[in-house]
Amino acid sequence: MIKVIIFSDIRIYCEGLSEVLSNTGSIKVVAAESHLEGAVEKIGALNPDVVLLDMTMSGSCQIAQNIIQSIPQARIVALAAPVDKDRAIRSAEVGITGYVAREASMSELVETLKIAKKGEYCYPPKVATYIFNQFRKVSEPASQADIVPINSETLTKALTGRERQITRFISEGMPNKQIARKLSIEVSTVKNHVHNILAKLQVKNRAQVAALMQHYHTDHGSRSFDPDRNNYLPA
Amino acid sequence: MEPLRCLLADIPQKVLADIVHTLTQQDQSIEVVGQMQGLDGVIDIIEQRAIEVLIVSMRKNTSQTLCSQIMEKFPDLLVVGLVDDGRMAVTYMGNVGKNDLLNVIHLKRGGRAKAAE
Repeated sequence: MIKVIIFSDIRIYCEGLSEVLSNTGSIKVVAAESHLEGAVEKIGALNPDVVLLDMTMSGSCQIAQNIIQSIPQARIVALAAPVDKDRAIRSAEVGITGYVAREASMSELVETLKIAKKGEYCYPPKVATYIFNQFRKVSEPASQADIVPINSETLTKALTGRERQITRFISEGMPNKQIARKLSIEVSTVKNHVHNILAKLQVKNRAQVAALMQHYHTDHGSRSFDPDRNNYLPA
Repeated sequence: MEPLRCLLADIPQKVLADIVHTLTQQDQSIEVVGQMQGLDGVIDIIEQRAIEVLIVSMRKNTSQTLCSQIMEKFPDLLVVGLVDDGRMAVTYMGNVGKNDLLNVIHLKRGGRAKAAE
């Protein structure tokens, strides 16, 4: 039996899914909530196998993130999630286990809940394609031709102190969200900094920033970057 | 009393369609006589299958016009239009009499649920 908690502010989904899923015989709906206040606490208390979260609810993505941060073992299935690139990638970044598009059928939803309970990821092929393409894009090494030489002057003069900090975090593979948390600034601010860094370093993406920094480290020996002093320190 | 003959039409959100289908089917006073994708031929089906209630997903561009056409041809039909993925519903009724009006107003206080009991 799969214990499921439903969050949807669409009453007919909330009530209807409770009934329809319970009728399957393999799912027990332990709660159906129409709002997200206290969601983390509720999930902690009821300990469901799967959280079915209506992604049309305002703040649902942030809540999903909060849930996973507080209850790492939580399995979240995104309901009525739009099949678009940004939402797909965001869902994967947040750690959502399953993705059920608006157009999916009830049997697909039930199947996704079963898979999610096992801790396995279940995304529709189109959404999975977006995610894998993004993964490939981020992880592919920048080609040598794309990289312009970098020198200490560029790093210390062209980039501001904050940009140098963020450059270091990018080269460590941190996503914007994590950088924002680390620096206690908004994600949108980080995005602006990243945009400026790419322009100043004349590269196309953050993978190239990382590659650039790796080249720099190789050329300048194993030294760690000290953003506060605007230079590199001996290791 | 004979169950109300109900047709589900053009509800592209399949989960919503399945919910509506299951919930209506469970009610003994309702008989779901069919479910169709799209609205092509809906007028013929309403006529041939003697449909009394049509449940349809409302879309900005076509629904209002279509409902007007349907109501003109079948004034005794009740059309329940699901709006915005089921967040809202609108009903279309022809031949609205005193009791129809009062029944609709009484929905505010659970008239529908009481009727089902």
